[in-house]
Amino acid sequence: MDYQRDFDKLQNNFAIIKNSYLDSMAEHLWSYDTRLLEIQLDGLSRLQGVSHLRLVADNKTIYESGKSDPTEENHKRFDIYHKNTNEILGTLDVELDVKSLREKYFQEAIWIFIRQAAKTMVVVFCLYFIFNQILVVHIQHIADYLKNISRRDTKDISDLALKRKVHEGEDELDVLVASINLFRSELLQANQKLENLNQALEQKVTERTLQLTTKNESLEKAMLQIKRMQATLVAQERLASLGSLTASVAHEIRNPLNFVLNFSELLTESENMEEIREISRVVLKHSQRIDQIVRSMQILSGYDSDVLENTDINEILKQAYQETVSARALGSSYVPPKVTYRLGDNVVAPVYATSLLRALSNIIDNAIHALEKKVIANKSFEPELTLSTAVRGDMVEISIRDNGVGIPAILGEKIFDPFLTTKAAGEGAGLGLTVAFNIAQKHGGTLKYTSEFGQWTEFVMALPLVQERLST
Amino acid sequence: MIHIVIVDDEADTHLLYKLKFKKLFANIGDLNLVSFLNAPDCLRYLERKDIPPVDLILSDINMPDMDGFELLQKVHNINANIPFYMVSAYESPEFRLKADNLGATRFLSKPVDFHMLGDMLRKDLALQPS
Repeated sequence: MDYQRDFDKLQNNFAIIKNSYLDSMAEHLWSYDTRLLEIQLDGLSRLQGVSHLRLVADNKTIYESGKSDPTEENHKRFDIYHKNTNEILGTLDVELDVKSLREKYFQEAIWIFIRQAAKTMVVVFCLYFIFNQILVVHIQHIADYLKNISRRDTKDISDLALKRKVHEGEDELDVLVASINLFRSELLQANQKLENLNQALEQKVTERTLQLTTKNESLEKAMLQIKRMQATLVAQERLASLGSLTASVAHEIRNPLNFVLNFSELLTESENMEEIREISRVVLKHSQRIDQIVRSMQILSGYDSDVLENTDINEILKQAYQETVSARALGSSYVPPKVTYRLGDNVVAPVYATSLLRALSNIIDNAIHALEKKVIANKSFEPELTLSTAVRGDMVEISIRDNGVGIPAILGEKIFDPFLTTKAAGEGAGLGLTVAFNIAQKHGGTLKYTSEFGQWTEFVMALPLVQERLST
Repeated sequence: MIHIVIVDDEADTHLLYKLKFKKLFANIGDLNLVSFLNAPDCLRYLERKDIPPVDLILSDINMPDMDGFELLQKVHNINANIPFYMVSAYESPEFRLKADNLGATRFLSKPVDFHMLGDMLRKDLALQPS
């Protein structure tokens, strides 16, 4: 606005020149009074903002002052007319110095800006200081206080108080402080409650632990007692089973011994050859019974001198059948008319050969016995006995199958119990399958059977192909 | 004539008693020795009317179908006066006590001592050498 006013003032110079000077200039020019013209033009040149003046008359520069700036746009050319003839006496070029005016204003504007900026800065600093003094310091204090609360035990910290002058009424800071203090006290209470709960809990845990410990101790005591009792019971049981085993063995031996003793006594007195022969046969038979029982007992007790050796199982199975049949033939017992072999190729495994032979003989003898019973009951019955071997996985399977009387399902695994026999007195002590089962176990194998009562029975003994004891 | 019944599931028992008693009774008199392999057969025999009175029963305990104790009870139901000897390979106090309680005359254990048996028979049957 100031600039516009100054600019207008400058422009006004042109009007002043036109109205006030041109006429007198024309007069002086007419009279060619150069002295007066120069005075007039000097005065003109001293007018504010006139940077260049040039009076040209008759193509001659009569007067020039200042410098002409070709970039300056604000220049005007005035023609000087004669007052009466309207003849052009000369021209006056006037240039106004708007540029310097502009620069002047520009500088002034910068100065204003700098001054204003400085003032603003001062105000801002003052405001900052005041704000800092009345608010930020307190907020910082509150923040530190809160930090402390979160870091330390809240109990050790007193209420929040700001270092402020006493003033009337409540401002936002006071409200904030009051809220924080309320929050702190509530937190304190909650913490206290939690602590109480914790303590109660801890106490409870301690109590329970104590109870548990006591209970554990009594349990341990009870356990110890039970263990002691168990040990006693086991010992008693062992003694009892040993006793009953001994009684069974004694019973089994006493029966044949009764004959052996008494018949042999008769032998010493008899003179009848026929009688002597008959008695000898009976004595032999019952002596063999005792021998069988003692052998079985020996196998069951594990006190035998058998060693593990890689053996052809097929050969053992065949041998077992041969021995069983010849033993039966010797005692003029039943012998089946035929046997079927289904033997696998290269069935070799590490076995206790003598024991295995014994086990298989026992099973085969039972099978033949089952056939015999059926043959006696039914003359047209066609007995079948199948002996087979096969390698299945890492086991050798030996199967003995007959189509004899079968085994009642009710007997189940009891058939392996010692002294269980279905044979008539003197025919067997009930140790055959017990022995066979034990021998299978001794090899780390199994002995299982399936049967349909009245139809058939199949015993399968599975023995491992590899024995750890042998490989080491 | 002395009538003795033997019950034992061992078939050779009959032969043994026959030969032993032959010597024992040689100077006492005639002996009628009857043997059974099981108790029911023996009971059926005892129930017969056409047999001479039985002087003594010798019975095993462990037998299939019916054991010696049951036989003893059944025999006493028929005639409580028949002397009854238990003969068993089970030498146990329980068996002895049970036999005693059931009224067995004597309890013998196997192997049988025939000298002792002879003495008992002479005493119990009041046998007099003829």
